[in-house]
Amino acid sequence: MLLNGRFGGNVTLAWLTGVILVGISLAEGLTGYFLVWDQQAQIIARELFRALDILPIFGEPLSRSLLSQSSMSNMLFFIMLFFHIMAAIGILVFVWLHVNRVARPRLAPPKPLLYATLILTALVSVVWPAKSNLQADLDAIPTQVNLDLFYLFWVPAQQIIGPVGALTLFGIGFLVVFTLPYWLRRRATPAPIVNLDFCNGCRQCYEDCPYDGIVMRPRTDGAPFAEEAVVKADGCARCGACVGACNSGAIEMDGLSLRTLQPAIEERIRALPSGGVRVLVLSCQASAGGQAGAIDGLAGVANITVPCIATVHPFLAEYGLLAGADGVLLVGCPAEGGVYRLGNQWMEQRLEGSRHPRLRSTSVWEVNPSEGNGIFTLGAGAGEIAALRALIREIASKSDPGKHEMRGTG
Amino acid sequence: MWFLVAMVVIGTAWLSALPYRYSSDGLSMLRVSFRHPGQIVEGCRDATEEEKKNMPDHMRTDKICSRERFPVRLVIELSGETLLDRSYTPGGLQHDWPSVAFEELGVKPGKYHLKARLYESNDSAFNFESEVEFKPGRVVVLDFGRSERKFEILSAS
Ligand code: HEM
Ligand code: SF4
Ligand code: SF4
Repeated sequence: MLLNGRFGGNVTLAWLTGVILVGISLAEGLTGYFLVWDQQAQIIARELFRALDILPIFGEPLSRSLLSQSSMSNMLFFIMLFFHIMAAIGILVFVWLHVNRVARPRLAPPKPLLYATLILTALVSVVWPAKSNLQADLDAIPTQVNLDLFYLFWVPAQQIIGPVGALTLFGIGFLVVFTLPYWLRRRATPAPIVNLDFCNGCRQCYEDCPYDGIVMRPRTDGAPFAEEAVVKADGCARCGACVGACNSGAIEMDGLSLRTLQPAIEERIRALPSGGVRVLVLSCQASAGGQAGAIDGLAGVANITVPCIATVHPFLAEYGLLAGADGVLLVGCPAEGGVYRLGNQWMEQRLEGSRHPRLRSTSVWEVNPSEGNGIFTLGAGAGEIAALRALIREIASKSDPGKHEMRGTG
Repeated sequence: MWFLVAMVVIGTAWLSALPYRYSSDGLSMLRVSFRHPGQIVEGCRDATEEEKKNMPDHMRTDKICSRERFPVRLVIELSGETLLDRSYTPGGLQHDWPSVAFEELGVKPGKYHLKARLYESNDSAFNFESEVEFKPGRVVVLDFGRSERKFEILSAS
């Protein structure tokens, strides 16, 4: 997320709840370790209470509950158990909030990753079991202990700079991270707009929006359809997937729509020298094709950049061929780690025909079925320009100039 | 992928039990604590007619008394040397709650004559004296007022 620079606008809720999730996970770990009541628990209790006692929220220092072994109350364990359980419930609640504005959240990790993690964790826990330290004794000073520095990273820091320093640092760090979306917000690109004259309420944009950007509502313009699409700007990531989803070209985002991209493609292809091979590249802005200089020095190549490869309606790929390109290449982000969610998936499914809007299997296919349909795809991140250029050269070398030329028109 | 996951899992396992020196060997400590209300600072004055009018019926009085308490002062001496001399401000916005202290004081191991004095006002104090041995790695816990209004050593040994 950080690397993608995707925090502002519609993912702010995910960001804020994400930061809180990290905090709750920390609390879950610390309270769990407390319940063991070994020397590590004693250190957690001592250092945690030392820090909390600085805050003017407790009438009596919490440290006093750690006075001595004989005076320690069992109540403390019940309170910690309570927080331990609350943290677990909190994680569930906050994960729900966290993905609240993400459509089709992928909650389970990919199967291989899940199994690898389970098996390896089980293995490591057998080979290298987690042992408790010596039993806690408040009347003794712990000296050499084994600490879980994943959860207790702050203890050494607090011992060095003191609780006031540690708490201040932690507070400032938390505030900065928490408010990062605010500091890094960018000038908002305009949200898509729906032109009701063309919208027939087919719901495809609603189905394809990877976030929470489209709602369907009862028709307001008297047209003979049940519903119309409405863009919810604050749930929209400006990915353009809805632009590519709309068969009627009813959605336009920042000047991009089926209706504006079609003439743009034609113009760019016609501008390429005729006679040689002509390749049209449609690139996601974050992919290799979206980088400056990606196609420099490649003759006969036109590159059009869009926010996300799902912005491209499959008809536009077909139209590239009809307008004279010998090959059309759609470049999205790498399979895992796309900037916007689901873009590549939608693009592939539209092209293979398993998702609306589908690539039409008419005119283009008939040109030369044995050589494929002249439409190629690639997932390549910003650093993979070389792979992109290699594929473009391969496409160019395999194509006969002019084979898909529109016959009798244009 | 297996390699990556293995690195993460082993890394986490490694991080989960790192030897750490929390404190040096051979240290000893006096932990002393109390929760005790200082005496109320005397100071009453006659209420004005205006003030009386504003009092609820069942609480109407002729005098207005401050509820402020004295800070509680704690002095600890080990074999004649002052280890701690501190005053603890009463809690609460009007300083009308008990004062609370929790101190951990490093002490060189050995036998000492421990003297503790707790002043709840300028002229009322509680005293405590005892021979105490501070053993390396152990804590001597001195508490005031847990069950009775007196000092008490809570730690074993
Ligand atoms: C316990 C910790 C966390 C859990 C269990 C968790 C879980 C998830 C899940 C399941 C998704 C949906 C992914 C998808 O289907 O594409 C998601 C998305 C997201 N998470 Fe987290 N997350 C956690 C921590 C964080 C943190 C610490 C941050 C950032 C501070 C964060 C920021 C985000 C954002 C911005 C999205 C939206 C993704 C997008 O726009 O493509 N998450 N999270
Ligand atoms: S651009 Fe369209 S598809 Fe993308 S988030 Fe916004 S409304 Fe959804
Ligand atoms: S895809 Fe286009 S036609 Fe269908 S509901 Fe959305 S805007 Fe309307």
